Amino acid sequence: MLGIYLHIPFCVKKCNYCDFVSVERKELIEAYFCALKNEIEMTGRMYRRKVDSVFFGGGTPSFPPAQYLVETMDALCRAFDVQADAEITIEANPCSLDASKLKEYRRAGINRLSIGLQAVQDHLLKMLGRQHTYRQFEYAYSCAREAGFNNINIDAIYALPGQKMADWEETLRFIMEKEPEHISAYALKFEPGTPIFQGLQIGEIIPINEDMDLAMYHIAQDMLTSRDYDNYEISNFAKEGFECSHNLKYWNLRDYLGLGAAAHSCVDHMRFANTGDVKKYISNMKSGQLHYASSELILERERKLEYIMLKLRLKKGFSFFDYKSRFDEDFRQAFPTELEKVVSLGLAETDGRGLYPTRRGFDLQNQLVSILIQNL
Amino acid sequence: MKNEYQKNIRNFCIIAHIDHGKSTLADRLIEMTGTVAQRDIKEQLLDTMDLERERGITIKSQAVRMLYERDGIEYELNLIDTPGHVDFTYEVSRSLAACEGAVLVVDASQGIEAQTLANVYLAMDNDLEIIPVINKVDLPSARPDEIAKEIEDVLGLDASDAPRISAKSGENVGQVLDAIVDKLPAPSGDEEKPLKALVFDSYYDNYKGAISYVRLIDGCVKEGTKIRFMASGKVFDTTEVGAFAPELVPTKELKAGDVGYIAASIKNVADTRVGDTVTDDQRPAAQALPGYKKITPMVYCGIYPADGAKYDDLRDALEKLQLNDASLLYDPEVSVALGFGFRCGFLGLLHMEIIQERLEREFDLDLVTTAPSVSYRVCMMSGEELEIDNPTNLPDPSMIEYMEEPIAKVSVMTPDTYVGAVMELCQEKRGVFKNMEYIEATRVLLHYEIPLNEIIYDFFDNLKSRTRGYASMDYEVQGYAKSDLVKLDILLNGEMCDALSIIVHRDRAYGRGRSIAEKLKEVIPRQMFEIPIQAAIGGKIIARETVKALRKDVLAKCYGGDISRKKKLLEKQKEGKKRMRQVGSVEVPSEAFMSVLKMDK
Repeated sequence: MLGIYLHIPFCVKKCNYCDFVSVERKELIEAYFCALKNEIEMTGRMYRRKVDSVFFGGGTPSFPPAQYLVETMDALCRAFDVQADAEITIEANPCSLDASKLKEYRRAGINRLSIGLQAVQDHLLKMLGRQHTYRQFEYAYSCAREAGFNNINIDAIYALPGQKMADWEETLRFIMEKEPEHISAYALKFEPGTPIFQGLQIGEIIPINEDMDLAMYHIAQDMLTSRDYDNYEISNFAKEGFECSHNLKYWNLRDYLGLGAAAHSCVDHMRFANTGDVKKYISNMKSGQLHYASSELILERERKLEYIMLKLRLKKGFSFFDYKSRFDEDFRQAFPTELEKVVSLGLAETDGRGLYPTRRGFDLQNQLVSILIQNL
Repeated sequence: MKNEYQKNIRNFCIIAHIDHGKSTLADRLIEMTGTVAQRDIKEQLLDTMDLERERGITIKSQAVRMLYERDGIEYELNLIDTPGHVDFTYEVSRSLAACEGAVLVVDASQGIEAQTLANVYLAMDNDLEIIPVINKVDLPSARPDEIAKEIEDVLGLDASDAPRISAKSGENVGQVLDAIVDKLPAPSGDEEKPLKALVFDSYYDNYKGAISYVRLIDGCVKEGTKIRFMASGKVFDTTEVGAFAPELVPTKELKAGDVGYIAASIKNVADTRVGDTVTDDQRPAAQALPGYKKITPMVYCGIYPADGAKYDDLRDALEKLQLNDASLLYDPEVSVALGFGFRCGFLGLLHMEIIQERLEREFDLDLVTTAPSVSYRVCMMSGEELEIDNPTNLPDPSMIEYMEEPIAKVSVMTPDTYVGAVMELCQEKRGVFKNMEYIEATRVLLHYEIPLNEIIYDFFDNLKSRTRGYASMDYEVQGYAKSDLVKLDILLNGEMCDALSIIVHRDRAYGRGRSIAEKLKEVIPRQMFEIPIQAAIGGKIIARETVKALRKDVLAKCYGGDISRKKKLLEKQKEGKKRMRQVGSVEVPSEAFMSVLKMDK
């Protein structure tokens, strides 16, 4: 089985905190989708595996006219063996959705929608550089339900400069009222090169303190789990059966193929990525050849590191049996002191069959992983 | 005339303050005498170590024989290049003793500095003829007339016909060669007398063993001569003698007045110590040359491998460095915090820095070093006397009757506008004012006695910053004095960290304790629990800081399948952790052990 990620690097305007590859250049859309189609056709011949998840990410995949998505899906289904029950997700911004667009997506086979709401307070949305208001979100959400989307994720961000605990609780409450199947709650990160990062450096933006950040994380965990959203991954919550199977591929070290500019792939212990330069990507594909900006073979040691760092993002951690079947060694024998240390520090638990991060292990995941890989 | 050959030999050295152009002048002399082919000429020719080139300093003595022809007579000029730093005063004094004369280089804009003065006095003590040379006259800020007057006033040397040169461009450097030939005396000494040769340096060669750099005072030596080192008493068979060109060139023999080398399959440089006298075992000299001292380290610190598994590598590296540097001492020691390592003794701070840097560069070792210490004398109630150079080994105070610490005679030369600042610094450092003299209208020489442990702390940096770099200093340890010293301990999360203990004067303990705790708070990264940092004397806590607990440390998102950044972050964290030392439950970064050193504002 294979997951496919397609990067759609266009936005009306890039948000102040975003460091993903995205351009505000509408005129490149046509050529880009053409290039993407080329890549789909080229790679389709190479990977003869069943595809059980597709994810359109961005950028803003909902920004270009729906027709491009429809055509891309069409090309994808012709080039790959996309399973009938495959999870097919599109990321969307509230202001770029309308009833007809959503209908087209449905027709193209897209069955999961991930809407970036981020906050319900318009002043916070403005600070983030979002183009939408809360009202626009409500409209988009109801359109989506009407169009028949019965698997919807809502993205929210906390630890925003100027955000009060009450704001965050309000955001969570409003989201839960909508009863989405899936909720992602991310802490804001100041990525170098973004406007908010610059604001931070010149002292115009004052980040909230770590205790508040943690309290917001904990309140989200408390409120959401009390309403039967399972905190199955550090930042992700889902009703039973609605975990995002595409994202689970990353955390479970399954194979995925990334198509489009800046898209990353991991197939058969190879990691490779396309150029992040949209124009260069277009011209690469025009030449009819796959050019990877980077590619590396993941050796056993590194694969173990990836395994530990990704698996422990999941509440269910990993089983020693699974570890052994992958790496042909017993985790408990290979890392006895590290194991004991993370357990004694309360970062993870074990029942003799597997290793599971605790809530503290989620809070301090970098510490948990660093201890385990210390002697790797 | 007996020993006719001697009259065309001149043995000399160059003395100068750092940056006044000693190595550049040496380069020019070598070039002008055609000693080294033009194509092989590189800057600082005599400084063979990368470190010497980079820092612009001379660490090891070097020698070169130059042939200079004038009026149909060929002169043999032996230049002995000496280290210029106070740490190596003894080596300098031995190199000077191997010469009849010295070229004193003074910067035409900066004038005489503290170290110049110290070295000139050393040269005078050795009865050398001194040729003053004013360098860098091509710089716009040059004031050669004033500097010439300064040389006359301060040093009492006749500078009226001192060559005014630019070693850089070569301008008037010929005058220096002429002055060497005309003004410096030829060596005397009797080749018929029993052999007496002064060792002024040594160097370890993988094939020839330790090679002694010598100046023959009397007698002669050649292959087969059974030589004896008079201080160590060791006897060896000479396998080769020769001259410096500057590479080693074998010759038939060395005779009274010559400068050259002796190879005798000596396994250990410690057997050919600087200052020792080489004589003929069959026909020994009655008396050794004066001035030999067994050098004792002044500064000590603990050196540990950052990665405990590299202990053997560190030992091998120290062994190799010691082959060429008999003044480096090391003994194995164990620290609770740092594991297995070595207590190392150095001539001074620069020597310590150089050794640390060479270990890291030439042997690719990652080191953890502790704050430097001096050697204290501890008189016990029982009457026993101990030498303590590691604070951890200090006995319980109740068993100590009193302690003594080394005191240095310090001279600071400064423009008079900074006299107040310098005096303030010296007072802060428990200095005792001795006297003050005017070198010229606006420059002053201050004499102080300051405990050595204050000097190794951050004296030099402070002096430079408070005088905008204008002051220069020189020091010499002159003895021990009783002092009210205490051991200051640091506790991390309630546990004492032995590698952070220091010995300080009681009056300074509170201030030091506070600043160390503050500094550690900055360098110890937050961990999963709160870490109290306490400074204590005996059982009494005198300062406290807290490193707050790390409560959230997680990447919220793994981006669209791109996990490379997160992986990099983790690998970096992992590398960082490798450089951490576990002190009880607390992880302490390697640099913390040294960072307690430099902190005074």
